[in-house]
Amino acid sequence: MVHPGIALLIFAVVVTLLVVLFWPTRGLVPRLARYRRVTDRVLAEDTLKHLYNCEYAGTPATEESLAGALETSRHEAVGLLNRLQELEFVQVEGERATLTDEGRRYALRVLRSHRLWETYLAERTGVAPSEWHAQADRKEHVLTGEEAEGLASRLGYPLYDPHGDPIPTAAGRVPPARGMQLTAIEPGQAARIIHLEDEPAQLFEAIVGAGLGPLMSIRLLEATPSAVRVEAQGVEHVLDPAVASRITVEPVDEETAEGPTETLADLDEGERGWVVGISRLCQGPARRRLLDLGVVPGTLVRAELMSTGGDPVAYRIRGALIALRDDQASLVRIERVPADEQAAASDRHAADAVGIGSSESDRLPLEGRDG
Amino acid sequence: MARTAAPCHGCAANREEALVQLGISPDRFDYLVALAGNPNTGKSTVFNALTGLRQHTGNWPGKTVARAEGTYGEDEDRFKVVDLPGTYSLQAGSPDEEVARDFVLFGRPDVTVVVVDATRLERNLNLVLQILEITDRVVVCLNLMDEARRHGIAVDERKLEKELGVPVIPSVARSGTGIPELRDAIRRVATGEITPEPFRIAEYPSEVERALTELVPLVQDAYPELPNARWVSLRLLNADQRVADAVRSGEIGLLDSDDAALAVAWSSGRGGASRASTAGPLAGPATGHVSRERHALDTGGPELQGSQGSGGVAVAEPFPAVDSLEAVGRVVLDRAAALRWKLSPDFHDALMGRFYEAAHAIADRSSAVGLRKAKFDLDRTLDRLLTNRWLGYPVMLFMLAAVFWITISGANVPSGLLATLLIDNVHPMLLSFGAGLGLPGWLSGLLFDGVYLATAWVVAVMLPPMAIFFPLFTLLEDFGYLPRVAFNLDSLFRRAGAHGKQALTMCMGFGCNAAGVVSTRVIDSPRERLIAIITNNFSLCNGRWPTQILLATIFVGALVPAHLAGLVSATAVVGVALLGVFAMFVASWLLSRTMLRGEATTFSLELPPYRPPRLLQTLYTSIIDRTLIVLWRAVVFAAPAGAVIWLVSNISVGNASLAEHFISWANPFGILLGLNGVILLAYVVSDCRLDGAHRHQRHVVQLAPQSVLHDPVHDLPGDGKREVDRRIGPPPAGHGLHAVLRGGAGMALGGLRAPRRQLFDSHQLPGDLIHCFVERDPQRGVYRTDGRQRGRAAVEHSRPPHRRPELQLIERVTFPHGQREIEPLRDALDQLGQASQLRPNVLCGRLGLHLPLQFLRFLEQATEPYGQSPALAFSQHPCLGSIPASDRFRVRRDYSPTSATATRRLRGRVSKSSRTTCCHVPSGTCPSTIGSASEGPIKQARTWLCPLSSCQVSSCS
Repeated sequence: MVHPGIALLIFAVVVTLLVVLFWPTRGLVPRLARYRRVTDRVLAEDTLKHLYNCEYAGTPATEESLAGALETSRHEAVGLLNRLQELEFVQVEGERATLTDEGRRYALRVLRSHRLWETYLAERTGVAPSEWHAQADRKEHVLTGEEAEGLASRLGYPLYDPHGDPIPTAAGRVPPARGMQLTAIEPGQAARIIHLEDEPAQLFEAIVGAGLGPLMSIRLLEATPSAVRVEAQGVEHVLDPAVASRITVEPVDEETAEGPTETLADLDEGERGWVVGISRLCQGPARRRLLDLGVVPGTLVRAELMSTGGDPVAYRIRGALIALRDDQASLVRIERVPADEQAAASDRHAADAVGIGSSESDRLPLEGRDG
Repeated sequence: MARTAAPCHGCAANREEALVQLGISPDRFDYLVALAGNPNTGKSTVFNALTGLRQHTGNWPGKTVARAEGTYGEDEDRFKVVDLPGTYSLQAGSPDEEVARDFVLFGRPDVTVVVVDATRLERNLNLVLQILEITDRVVVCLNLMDEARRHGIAVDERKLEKELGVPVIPSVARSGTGIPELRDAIRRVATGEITPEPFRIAEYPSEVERALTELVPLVQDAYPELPNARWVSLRLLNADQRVADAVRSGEIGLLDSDDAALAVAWSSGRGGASRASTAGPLAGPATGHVSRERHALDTGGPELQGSQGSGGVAVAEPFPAVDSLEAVGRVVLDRAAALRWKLSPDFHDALMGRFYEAAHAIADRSSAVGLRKAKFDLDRTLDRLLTNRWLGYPVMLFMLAAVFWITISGANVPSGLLATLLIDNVHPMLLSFGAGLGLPGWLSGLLFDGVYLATAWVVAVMLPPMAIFFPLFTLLEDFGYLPRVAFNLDSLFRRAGAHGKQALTMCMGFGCNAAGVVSTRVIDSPRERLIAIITNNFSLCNGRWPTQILLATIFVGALVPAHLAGLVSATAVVGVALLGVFAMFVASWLLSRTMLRGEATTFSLELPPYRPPRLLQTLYTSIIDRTLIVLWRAVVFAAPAGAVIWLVSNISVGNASLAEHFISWANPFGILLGLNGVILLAYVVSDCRLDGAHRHQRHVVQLAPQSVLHDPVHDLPGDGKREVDRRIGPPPAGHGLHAVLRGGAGMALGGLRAPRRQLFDSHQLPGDLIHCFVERDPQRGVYRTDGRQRGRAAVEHSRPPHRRPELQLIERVTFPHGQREIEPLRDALDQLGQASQLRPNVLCGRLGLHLPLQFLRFLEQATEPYGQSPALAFSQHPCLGSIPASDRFRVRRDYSPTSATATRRLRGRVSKSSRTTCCHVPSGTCPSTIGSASEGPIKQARTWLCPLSSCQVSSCS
């Protein structure tokens, strides 16, 4: 009989080994199996996707562009196109490759799975934005049509993915492309972000790191070959031109552009502010819950109570006391009630503490009502 | 549109099948009333005030959302009230909202009562407005009027009634004020005496209006009976899956019809839809496809089903056939899908904004705030105190400590009483009852020793603490304190990646882990809920407290002077509990960063106003809703587990029981894990809660300090030693448990292959290594004990011996300790009894209940410096005296040369049943203890602790 310590050691080693080998999806064995199973089909599907993207963007797809997109050799790209041509998914005419109807349907199916999965990751999980695209790239080849349908139904049939791209419908319909590159608009012009290119991941991370997201209003301040200065929600960002060219925008009127704002998290205890809006970064159930609680534009909110640790702060929202964490509160943009009104308000805190969160001006006359 | 009384009498019956789908029992009622409202508005108080105690609770089908329903009668009409889950809106974003929305829309209640908190009118009106979009037949119950008055808020209910267009009844449900008026309003709306003309949002944001002007006419054309086409269109624009399914299957067109056939058709369509919608996103089939198929299938013969449903009446004609219904639905859905692309992605925000705008306007016109400026705002003062930077935590610790103290000290007496009743009195009665019926031994063993004992122990130990803990906890919850605890602790939990409400479920876990896990449903974020469930076991449940107290008293309390022992050991127990909390944080942190990384997180926590708790109500609901449900779940698991434990220890295959087979098979794995086969078996067949079944054998568990046991089989003759080596493995190097196993096996084999005396003597084990082998003398009908002679004939027993696997190998080894050496330990146990305020038998019950073997092993190593066997001390403790003789007194039989069966034991009571009241003790049987006693019968078996060195020889005559 071995020494129990040694026995335990052996056991631990064996368990670790087994885990490394057989852990679902990440173990060596499942990885190998997947790699072998998947490569051929994946390459074919990626080819179709690339051809479709080129078609959607209106740029020609060639062997070179395909080889570049798939990070493979030109020789292999030619082989792929030939195989797809045999399957009647692709037509090659000279340099250019185009999709057949059949091929386009297939590509849209893959794209739908991809964008649905990205939406799922964005709304229902805490996966970091920079990982969405890579995970969806893997998942798009695995999801069956039925699974994608189930996913869409659970997500409430979303129309756009978190990067602002339209999700093809089950019937394969997509609205035409719109918008222009951020660098293409006039300096001083306000615009709304409608699309963020998620490839390559580093550039996308730079966009996300700057706090920009789809549907956000931004204003181009200056575009030079070395740097692009933009203003978003009152904060100035300096972007690399390569990064800026990956942002697609749509010019909007001056009025709808969002001015500089503070967030709920900026309020000190006892201060009040009107809600201006909820950031686009807050999506899915979290956003819905805030709306349900009455955090809609125009709501008067008062930071009422700090917790012992100081982080969740209880806000008086439409009469109810709701605790929100800092990271959530910082997603709610507000306009602070001016300081002189703050002072006036603090006199009446007893009333506000239970009040029906109304605006300052139009309170009912208090006389003549029974108490 | 309002219906008159006559068709509604019918429609209640017609809806029957549909309601069954929604989980409503189809008993007789005339009117169906749904009760909706925000959380924390006193909705369940209104529900109780309406229905009294005629209610029952359960879950909504397919969802873990609690559902309560009850009935009341008025003017010969029976009203069935269904309490919907509390929700902030009907956007169907959570299971709660989905359930509420489905019921209001598809359950077609005759009246929907919306309970509204008068102090938070604006927020509550949001829900009212949403419900008014769906149905006209609404009564608003303006609850908590007293609280509003206290806070200086006045609500003009007539004004509000005018604004909303539905009856508004002010009430104080706690005191029953306004409830008769509410019943009256419900009756009048239900019978059509009042026709509400509800307020509806006149104009949605312009882009929504544009889409609606295209969609609504289409919907209205398709379903002319539909009262809420605008709302349905809006939901379609929102891609509401359930509504889309209803449109696709044509179900939506039937919602306002009272035709029986179509109600049937609808409910069958609903079956398909609900099945599809409950399926997971990945596993789910294409939902529309399935519901279409099912619908076609189920309504294939509408005439047939219709004639069954409406008693031979022909199917109503005005409704189009299924095919065209579907076609119409498809057109509507296609149009809605096309229109969605024209809407901006955040139109939902604007929509909600519009609802709140309207709610704000209505609230503003019909209520006044700040009527009375409170000189002393209690809520605010309490909040300042309880969330104070310095006072917050101490107050919280004090409150929780108080709850635990009351629970532990208060549960003691009833626990003891229950144990006495169920185990000491009822169990023997059951056994004799079984004997009277002539039940075969295996059956009464299975039923009474297996199933009954396990269940009885679970009940005796779990019921009293839960019946105290849960009401206390609920009182704190009702008062409003617990949400503040979650609020205070959230920053801590956030750092561990968990939710502040986990503080509450953790505390609940201190009462009972099962209840703690159940209560995690208050956490609405999936990841945090999962973390709370997984880490709940780090809360010491109150079944585990006594073990902690025992350990602390023995090992920590003994290190300090006697007068400090109590204090120090109490501190140690608190330390262990805190260690659990710390482990919980660490585990949460690890989980949220590894396995559960990437799960979604949301946080929102409403801090309700403080309310004076109501004692009786709380007592009732917490005992019904929590205690009994949790207890029932425990019993459901305990009973079969008791049976399994009994069976594996008593079914023999070959020469050994199933348990022994398993143990020998699992031993190698066990040792790799630092355990052994016995412990693995214990894990497999039971959990800590079920150790209760082991308890009545507890006192025979004896372990050997390893200092004494080098290799117990060292001196066996060659074949015996080889046999032991083969079965158990070579001698261990200082591995106590292994030595014990070898010892047990050695003795078993020694009995076969070598004179046992040799085994004993070679180790200079004194004779008080007790083996009071008892055999029945066939002539005299008495049991004789003989430790040294072997080769007796096998003894026939009236009942098959009941064996506990984990005891079999170990129990036969015990080691001598002088009385004096044991005294400190006994003193410790005495202190323990005093410190824990437990009655001796409760203490022992708890000890036995939670005394798994690894604990004993730990004890063994830990007591080693004292040079004593813990089991010995246990068995000598006076508490054992209170354990019935039937449990304590076991008669053993020697191994027969022809059989390799392990020890067999007979209960003392068997000897009683064979009219034997004394045991014959031959001289020299137990030299050190009984040795001095003269040969003769022991008259009182009940004081004879057979396997122990301290046999109470005084009772030998």
